[in-house]
Amino acid sequence: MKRFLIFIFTVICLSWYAAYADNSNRDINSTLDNLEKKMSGIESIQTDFVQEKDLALFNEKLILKGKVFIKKPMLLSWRVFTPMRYSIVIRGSTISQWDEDTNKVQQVSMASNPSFQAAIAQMQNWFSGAYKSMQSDYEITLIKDNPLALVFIPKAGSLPQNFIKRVEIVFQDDLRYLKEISISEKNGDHTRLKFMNTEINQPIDAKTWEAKSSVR
Amino acid sequence: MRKFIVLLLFIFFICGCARLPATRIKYMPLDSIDPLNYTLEFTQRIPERMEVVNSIVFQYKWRSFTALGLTYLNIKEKTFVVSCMSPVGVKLFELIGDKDSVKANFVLKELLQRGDLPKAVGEDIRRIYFDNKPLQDSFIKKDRYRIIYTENKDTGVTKYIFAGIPSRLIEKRYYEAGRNIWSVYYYDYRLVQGKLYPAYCLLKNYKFGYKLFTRIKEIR
Repeated sequence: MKRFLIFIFTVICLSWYAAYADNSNRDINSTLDNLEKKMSGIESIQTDFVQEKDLALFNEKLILKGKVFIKKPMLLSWRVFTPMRYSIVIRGSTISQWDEDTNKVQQVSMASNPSFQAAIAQMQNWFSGAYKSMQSDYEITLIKDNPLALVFIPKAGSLPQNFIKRVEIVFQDDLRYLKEISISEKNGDHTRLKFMNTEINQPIDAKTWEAKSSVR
Repeated sequence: MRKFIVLLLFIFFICGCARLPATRIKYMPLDSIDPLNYTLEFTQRIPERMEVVNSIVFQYKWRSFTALGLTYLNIKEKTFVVSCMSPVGVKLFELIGDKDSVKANFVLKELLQRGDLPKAVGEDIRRIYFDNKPLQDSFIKKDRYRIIYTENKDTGVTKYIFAGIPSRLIEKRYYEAGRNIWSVYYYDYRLVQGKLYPAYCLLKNYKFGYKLFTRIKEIR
């Protein structure tokens, strides 16, 4: 009799858990659908950023500040103002870079740089809002509703599992863009990227797509 | 053809006169200076430890590569930790080393395909930052504006060139079999809390034909 009761109790618990898991899957899927829908209306973004790098081997954080511009289908301009002035512009498959020390523009082909390709593909995934496609690599959990926050844990056997421990994304109140992205790596490093003064679908100065320009 | 040669000479002249993005030391006559005490103030102001954020430019032939470095140096113990990343914050390599060895904590796969990067970086860090004071028994050569201290080591000869009042190390040269293997030039010394930091350093490796520029952005 005792064994029978334990069996019944286990069956009930498992059913509850299955129902809960099903509901939370439905929740996360509808949240991701909603995000993808909201962010798909974005044609261009310009936003200030502060990147804090907390490296395991160092006591103090390294802080980079700058501005990023993205325009569909394939224009990206990442401009760093401190601690050094640097810019990288990606137009389709061409990458142009400029820095204050050399004061030269260098062009690189994306095709000949697999590491660039991988980094840019990752960047596009995180910034585009297409998180449903990342569900094969990450377990995605909704951790907060207001502001909306998601946690991404790499799945066993996935490529990100080799180096990423956890990624957390916090969205702006209107869900139209990211407010903050934090990446914890397995080696103990932690990177936090905060976005401020975000403007969506506003005109962008054409000079922004030149690596050497004074656009700020 | 003649016009072309004139044009080429003009370009070389312009390039040769390009302004160095750093301030050179003010050369002063050193006639009344005692070479044995001349470097004392400088050596006392070398920090025992330093942590800096610097920009790094590696130049080889016509290509250059820019990065951002976070470097911790224990100059007294001759140990270092360096993390080098792209200016957008992607880590390229991270090394821990001392006067004899270097351990790679992380190196981007693509960079490992181009030779022993940790060893080369470790050697350059030592060349720039370690052993920057001449020994007491160095051979001394004094001219009007500079004093050169020469040390013979097992493998080669190191020359320390000091100038200015107060004295500053402006160049360190290393020779093997009479051939200049590498030189480090130091510019823009900054005095922070009583310690001296060369804000701009240029390493020229004549053996392998590359140049390495480092510029301090933050002193911690």
